[in-house]
Amino acid sequence: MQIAFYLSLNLLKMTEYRTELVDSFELELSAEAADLEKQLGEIYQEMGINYPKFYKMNDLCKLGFIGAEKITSNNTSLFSEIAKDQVATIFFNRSSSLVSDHEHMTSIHRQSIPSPAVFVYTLPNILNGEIAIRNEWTGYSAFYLMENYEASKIDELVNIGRHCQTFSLCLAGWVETDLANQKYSLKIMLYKVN
Amino acid sequence: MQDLILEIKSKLIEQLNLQHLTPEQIDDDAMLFGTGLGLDSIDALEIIVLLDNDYGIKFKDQDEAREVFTSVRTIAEYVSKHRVNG
Repeated sequence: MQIAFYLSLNLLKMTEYRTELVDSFELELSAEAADLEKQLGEIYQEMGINYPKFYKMNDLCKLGFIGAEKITSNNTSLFSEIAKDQVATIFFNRSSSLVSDHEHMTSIHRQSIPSPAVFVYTLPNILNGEIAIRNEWTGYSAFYLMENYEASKIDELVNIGRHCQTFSLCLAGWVETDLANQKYSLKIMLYKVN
Repeated sequence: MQDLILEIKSKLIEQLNLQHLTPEQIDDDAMLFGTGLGLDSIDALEIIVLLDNDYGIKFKDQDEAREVFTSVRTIAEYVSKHRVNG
């Protein structure tokens, strides 16, 4: 059993998929909490998107959604060539869904019944779900927590993801809503995987 | 009744994050779920929480709640008859 395990690890290292960075988008926001949400709303309106569900999302999902919209709108022909189950989403951050966890705890203390609309966002991978719903993607999805943004780790986990499930395109990136320091950070990349 | 309808519209906009709408843009008799406003099951739970917190209304029967949640007007009529507080 141990021999098979180590053999499979070595095979994993040998089978490096070629990932080609096709596009990227970065966004840094810094303000008081209320202003951060307002900034996200303003960016959404400037982009001319008509997707009312945006307003129901927490700030983590709004931030990632904006990045995904930028990437998909800049690469419409590429996405049209790929089957919807061949598009993966792999995201990373440090703070998980704290932006909603905090609000959820507050609502529990403030009223007898916590808000269902807040509770459904108390998981970071809801971001993957929101983007998948918007684009009708049914491919691989994952959300990892990391101490800090590390491009090499993202590349590595995109590669590992490719070993888990076939996909041709991968939307990956860092989506951080740091409430303590009042900073939101987005670094989103589109990879073509061969 | 019109004051209560307007009050409920304002509460729905705030509670359900419908910032893209104003009370004037919500028809009193428009369907809330499916077509019309296009609310979903999470919104239904939020409305239940809102009616409990703001008006002291608790639903024991799921079918009754489904009838009440047809439109803003049906919600307002139910609140008018059954409110405990607010």
